[in-house]
Amino acid sequence: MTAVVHALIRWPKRLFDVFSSYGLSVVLLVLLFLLTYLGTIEQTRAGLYAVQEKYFGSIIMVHWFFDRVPLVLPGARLLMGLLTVNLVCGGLLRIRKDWRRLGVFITHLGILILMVGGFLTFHYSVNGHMTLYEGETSDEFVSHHDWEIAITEMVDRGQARQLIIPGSQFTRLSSADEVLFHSEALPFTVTLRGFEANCVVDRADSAGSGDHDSISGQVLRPIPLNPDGEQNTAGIYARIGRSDGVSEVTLWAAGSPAIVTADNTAWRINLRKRRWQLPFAITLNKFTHEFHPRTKIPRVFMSDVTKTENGVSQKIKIAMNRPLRHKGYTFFQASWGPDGAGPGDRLFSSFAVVRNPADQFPLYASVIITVGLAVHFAVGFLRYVHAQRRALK
Amino acid sequence: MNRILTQAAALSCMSAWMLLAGGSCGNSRSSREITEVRTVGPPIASELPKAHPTITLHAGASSDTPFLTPAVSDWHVPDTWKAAHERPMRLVTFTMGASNRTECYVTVLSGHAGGTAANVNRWRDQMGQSPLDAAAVAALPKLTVLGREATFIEVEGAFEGMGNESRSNYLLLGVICELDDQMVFVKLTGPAAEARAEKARFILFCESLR
Repeated sequence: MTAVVHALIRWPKRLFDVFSSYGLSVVLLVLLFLLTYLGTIEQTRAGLYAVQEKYFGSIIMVHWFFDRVPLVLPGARLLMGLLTVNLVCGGLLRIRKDWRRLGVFITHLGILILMVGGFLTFHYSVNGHMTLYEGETSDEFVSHHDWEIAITEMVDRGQARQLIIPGSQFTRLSSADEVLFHSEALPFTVTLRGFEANCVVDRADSAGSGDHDSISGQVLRPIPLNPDGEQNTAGIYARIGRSDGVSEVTLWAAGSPAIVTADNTAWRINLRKRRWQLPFAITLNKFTHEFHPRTKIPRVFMSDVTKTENGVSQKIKIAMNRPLRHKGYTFFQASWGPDGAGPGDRLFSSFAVVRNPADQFPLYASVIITVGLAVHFAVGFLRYVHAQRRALK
Repeated sequence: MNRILTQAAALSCMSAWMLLAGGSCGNSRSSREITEVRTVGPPIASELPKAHPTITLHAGASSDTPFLTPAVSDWHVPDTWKAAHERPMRLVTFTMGASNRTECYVTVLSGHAGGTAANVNRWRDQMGQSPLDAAAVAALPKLTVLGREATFIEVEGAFEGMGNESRSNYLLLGVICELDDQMVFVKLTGPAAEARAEKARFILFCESLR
């Protein structure tokens, strides 16, 4: 019994010793370096988005050398998780707590804040774009990569209801999986199945499509994913259930929406990029663009906007390297158009919009790490001076 | 004992972290209630605070105008055209041809967006051609699009897009359809030979808009 108890007590200690060891730190950092190197090389052919998902957003991944030799590696998500545990166990809990190591402790704390910020950014940040013509206003921005299905009530005037099925609830559905979506606000149900991340609409009797589903003679034919994830055109099959029967439709991001009529109301269903609502509205008053003389090199891109919130308006300029930050949202001047616009033409401005709850964490972490290093160097310097004085006596 | 408790606490944190880092397990529910509901369309005027700017939704690419009959909601896609990814301010974009440089897209703008003549000349300017006067614009060929008479334009020249180098020997086919409160633009550009081969399909596509 005593031996069992000792064994039960020993195992957590052994695990703790492993997770707090320098050796583990070195191994994890080497693996992170390797992932970063391999991902950087792979990005040149696979594209940024695909590489980020595969190398830095995964738990386990396989890197192929020369497309033939597989190497199984832990993904950066797993490595960063283990590194955080290693930092907490070794750098904060196990470390001897005395004034000589105060600077190191503070530095480790700063690094931990940086890693927590990374975790929050990965899981909770959203980003997209908002594009406005001069004179237009919007209170939402559009995701670059995420999808949603919008079911919009079609009305002649006034406001309309719009029900949203976020992509997280259907982008993993294979042709064998289906989920029924319902709401009291809807006079019909929507059953989704067979999501394709990138596809075209094809005729069911075309060569090579015989083993796919067919709706009204159409199938969603999957095509290779585009390295730039933003350029993928998704599709999904939907079954509309009403009191008088069932109908099947294909929802394709580049196609026209499906119109469903039930209980004397018409609803439009379309698959589109995810929209995020803002707690304020942005109006583009004027867009200014200048190039360096006799070149197409941009000199100034600036948007004069009005931010309206709770009836209060504020004029703001958004320019290259001068973003707008408000309530956790950041607006960057990203691009403009239309192509070939001349003097007097109505221009549109496109903003990159980011909502990141850990937006300032890198700044806080940098300050704390700087303080920690300063304390550590100061302590080391004072100890050196003290030792020199003792040696002289 | 304290050390053991500390270690146990650390390992518990580690386990919780790994669960979080690993992400949530897939949800295998077969039925879900739609919980996210929004209200779209401009607020009713009497509910707006004083001095609130008018809110208008940009039409066209977002196709989020539930309070209007959509100007364009369907079309017939020619067999050889491929749908391209979503772009800002475009309702839909297609590519065609072996060179991958020929594209056709539809844009819908609210209001009159400067009018037909201004946009015809803007396209001519993009192709390095001189502008037309009002009489010449009125004399351009017409197509029937969305039940209206739409202006058809065919211009050859050096195409200059935003930030791009000039591409010589290009062809631009365009249709501008003025509706009551919206303008529909359909534009095809590409190397002259390739774009010219698509002319018949382009016209059929424009006439199929509904």
